Amino acid sequence: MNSNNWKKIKKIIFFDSYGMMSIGFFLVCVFSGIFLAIPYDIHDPYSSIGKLLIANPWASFFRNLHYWSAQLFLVFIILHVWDYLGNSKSIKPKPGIWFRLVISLLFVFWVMLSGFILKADADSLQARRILETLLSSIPVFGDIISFSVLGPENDFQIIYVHHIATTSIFIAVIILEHAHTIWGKLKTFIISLILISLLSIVFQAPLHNNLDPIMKGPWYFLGLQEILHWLSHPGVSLLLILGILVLIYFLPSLKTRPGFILRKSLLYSFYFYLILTLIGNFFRGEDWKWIWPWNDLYSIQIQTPFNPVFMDLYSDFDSLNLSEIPVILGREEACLICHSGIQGFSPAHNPEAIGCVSCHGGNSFSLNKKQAHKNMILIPGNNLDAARSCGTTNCHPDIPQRVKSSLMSTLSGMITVDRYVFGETNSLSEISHVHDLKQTAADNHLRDLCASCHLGNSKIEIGPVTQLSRGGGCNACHLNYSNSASQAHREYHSSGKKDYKLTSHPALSIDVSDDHCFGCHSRSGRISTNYEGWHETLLDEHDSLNTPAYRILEDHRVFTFVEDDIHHRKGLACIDCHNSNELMGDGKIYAHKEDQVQVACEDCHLTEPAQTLSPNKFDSENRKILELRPATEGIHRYLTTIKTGKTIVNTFINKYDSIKLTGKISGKIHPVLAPADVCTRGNAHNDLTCSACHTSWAPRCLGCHTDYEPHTPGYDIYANKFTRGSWVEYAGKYLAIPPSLGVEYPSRGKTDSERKIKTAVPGMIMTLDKSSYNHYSDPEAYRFLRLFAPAEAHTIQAEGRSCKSCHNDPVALGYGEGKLNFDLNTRKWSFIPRYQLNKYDRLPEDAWIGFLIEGKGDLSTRDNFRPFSPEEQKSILTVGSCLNCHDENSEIMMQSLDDFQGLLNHLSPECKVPEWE
Amino acid sequence: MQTEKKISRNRFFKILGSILIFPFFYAWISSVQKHKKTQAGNRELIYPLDLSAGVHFEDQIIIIKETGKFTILSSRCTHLGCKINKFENNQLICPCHGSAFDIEGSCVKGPAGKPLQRHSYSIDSENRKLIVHLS
Repeated sequence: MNSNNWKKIKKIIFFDSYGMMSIGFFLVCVFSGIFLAIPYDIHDPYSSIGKLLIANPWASFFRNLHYWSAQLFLVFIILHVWDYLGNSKSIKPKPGIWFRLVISLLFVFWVMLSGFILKADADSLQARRILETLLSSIPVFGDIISFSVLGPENDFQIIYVHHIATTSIFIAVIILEHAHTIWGKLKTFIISLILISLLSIVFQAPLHNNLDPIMKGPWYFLGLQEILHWLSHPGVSLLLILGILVLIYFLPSLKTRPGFILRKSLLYSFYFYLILTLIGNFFRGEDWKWIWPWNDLYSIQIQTPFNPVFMDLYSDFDSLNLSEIPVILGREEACLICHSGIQGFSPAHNPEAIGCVSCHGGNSFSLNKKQAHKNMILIPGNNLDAARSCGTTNCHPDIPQRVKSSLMSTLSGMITVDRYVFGETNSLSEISHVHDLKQTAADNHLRDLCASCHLGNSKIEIGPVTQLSRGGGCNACHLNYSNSASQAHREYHSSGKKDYKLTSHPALSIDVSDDHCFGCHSRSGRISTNYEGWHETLLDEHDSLNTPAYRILEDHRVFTFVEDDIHHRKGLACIDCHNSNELMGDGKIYAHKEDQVQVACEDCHLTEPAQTLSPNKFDSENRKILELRPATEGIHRYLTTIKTGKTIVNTFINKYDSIKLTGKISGKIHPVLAPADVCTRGNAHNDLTCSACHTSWAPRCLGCHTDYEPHTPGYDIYANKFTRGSWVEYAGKYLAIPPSLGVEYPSRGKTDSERKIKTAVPGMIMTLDKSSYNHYSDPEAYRFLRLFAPAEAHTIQAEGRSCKSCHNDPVALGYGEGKLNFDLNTRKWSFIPRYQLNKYDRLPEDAWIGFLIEGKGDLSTRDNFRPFSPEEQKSILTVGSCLNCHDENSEIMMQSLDDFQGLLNHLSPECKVPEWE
Repeated sequence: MQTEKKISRNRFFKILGSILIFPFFYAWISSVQKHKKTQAGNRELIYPLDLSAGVHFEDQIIIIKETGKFTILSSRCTHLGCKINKFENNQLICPCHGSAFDIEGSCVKGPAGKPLQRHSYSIDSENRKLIVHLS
């Protein structure tokens, strides 16, 4: 482009000098301000602006005119000053006039800032507080100046007077003195008016909705906000501003060399401030944290007024009475004018209490559909936006962060174990996060098969939670569709989704049914299906299965009924045991689920005196839950968890000193029984967990194989995209039998005193073929793994397993199914396995360890969990040998619980105990 | 012979104007101070004693209720006076520049350096009221 063309373009853009253009913008600003003053109410400024935005389009237009003319006035004043200072040959003004001009810069910023404050939204109130603090920090006269400029808190009278009179008159006088005209040129005024009118029709002047957690000052002060962010003593910034004004004042009177240096310094300072302004506007999000454009939250957190939405100046609002605009939480809520009469909300989430914007965002100050729905969150509560919907200050501010840290969001254990199996980490205690999945063999295995089951997986389509639902943040648990809401949902889809007016809204409540857990927890450990008594089979859904003994899930898997958990049979839901502090996390990041789980059987089935709390000592969360589900019996004290001391808000000791549990959804009151005497008798079983005896069955799978098929079309369920090549799992055999037992050291010490015997299932007995995985060059590509996992199967029965079912059972001991026999003649135990020996490790297919052999190498999916050692096996089998002759309920076996070693020391001649080699 | 020292009218008024600044300042300061006294509002805030345990953000103060104990902090961030309105990870967070304070009011993250101001309170057991005394 040659210089002539540039000059022509410049002439069109800058249709007059900077100074004259700024006069044009000033005049538009003053005139539009006069008309804006009519609907503006100094006693209720925020509400008056809200009303005019909703139902007074021409007043809104005047507000836009006022806003945009003011912004352009400021920009052109800066250009004008810059133009003058940048030219060393500029005419030197008289000192008095120059002094007033320099001072007028302060007035220009004050008229702008006072306008910003007068809209009285959350941004404005924070800006007012900042200004008050800065002015008050001026020595001696600070408080007087601050009060004279701002007036009393929550009162806008003085600011308003300064805005419309003090500053405006001063600026007008300065313009007259400086430019010798106040009217400028008619042509400039007309062009300015047309330009600003166009801007005003397309871009709306901003108004904070008082919900958005992002607080920012006016755009031209965001550079200053950035500087203030570095300063512990922000009063320094006032000296900085004063210094710049002094420099500008002395600049024209300085000689060539110092003047040149000063000009250059100011130039670079200006560029620097410009960069800071850009940073403040485009790279600072919530809590002034840095945010990059590629961050998922960028488009949510970084907002500018440059969202083109054309004003509808001729909307017919005649029928609307302004006094009828609902005011929710101090904010005009125009949404409810169109979306009125919707039913189905839980009381706490009724829009008459919290409005629509509290959850859905959008613009409550517009009746224009497009404008109102701009930046709306259709499905609030996803982890991505939970902090801006469910987690705002007045709602549930601490929960989104807790949920994001919880295992159901991170999937830490699942990822760490997977990487360990693939040889991509050496530590089973490593903390992992699903957001850090990479493109490795292990991580792609998860992407292909597992990584959709995390709360951060956003729910993107409306509708009830089903067996196929995954993730959804808060919705995963709290979204409940009533029949009428489901009907409305179907009508919405059949209507073509256009112009459908919703009549029934799903509820968000604390009633988390088991169905919400089912989608994810019917997989892997399958605790949801176990709890209801269903065991997965390898049958096909098309097989003839029309009997109540089979159940076909929505994902087409076929289950058969075995036996449900006693708690399920009694009507307890998952949330009757698992509380909010555990499920939503406590803010800490855990590696594995047993670390995050807080409840234990003994919390309710007490073996020690109860630890209790009265309601007035509850934390706010449990207090709120108690308010929503008030207790129905005469209650004095609530039980607490042994692990954390947190309240179990539905389990209490009533006035008769009986322990009761209230079903959180059913409302039914259940008696809580104390453990049987045998559970606590003697010290032989102190290290047994309740579930070690009371788990009736656990799902096991054998002989699985996993390999990568490079040509099979795959789908990355974490990133939601199709891929070429996929990991595929082939199941061998599913069994539903009592679990094996293993040894856990809960706090990762290795002392016998903290040893706990827990149930274990084969985490994987499988071959893993990595040889076909692209880009993977591992010499150990083909791996055989025999890792057992600690697992609470959730198939508890009132009656525990028999003594023999552990002491004489090869599966419980870890040998796998087979014939475990004690020969009374030879006093030797022997074991004949049911399954063939595996070619890789020469152990039976379903075994954890070999008979009376020390397990070696990788044994479990935890570094604090192991099979029984040979010595432990011998101790167990020694008791087992006694059980060959003595009934387990016999007096002698009961005595053995108290002092087994004492009995061994006084054996009768008939007694045959094992002789160990 | 004594020379008569002349002063121009313009200079006379400049000097007079400069001198008048002082009574003007006095009048300004005095009027503002007197006005502030007449405007002094209620220095006590009253809340129900039965507030649920946890953190409550009010306009001027933050009420933290723990088991049997209240902590009343000013909602003004000690950095620039912004209203603190967020409680996250057991910290009170200022939205303007991200300063963070613990629930005792001590600053745990800048740019603020000083702790939040604490207000005293009294309890009206008979009427079940919490009375906060603004200093």
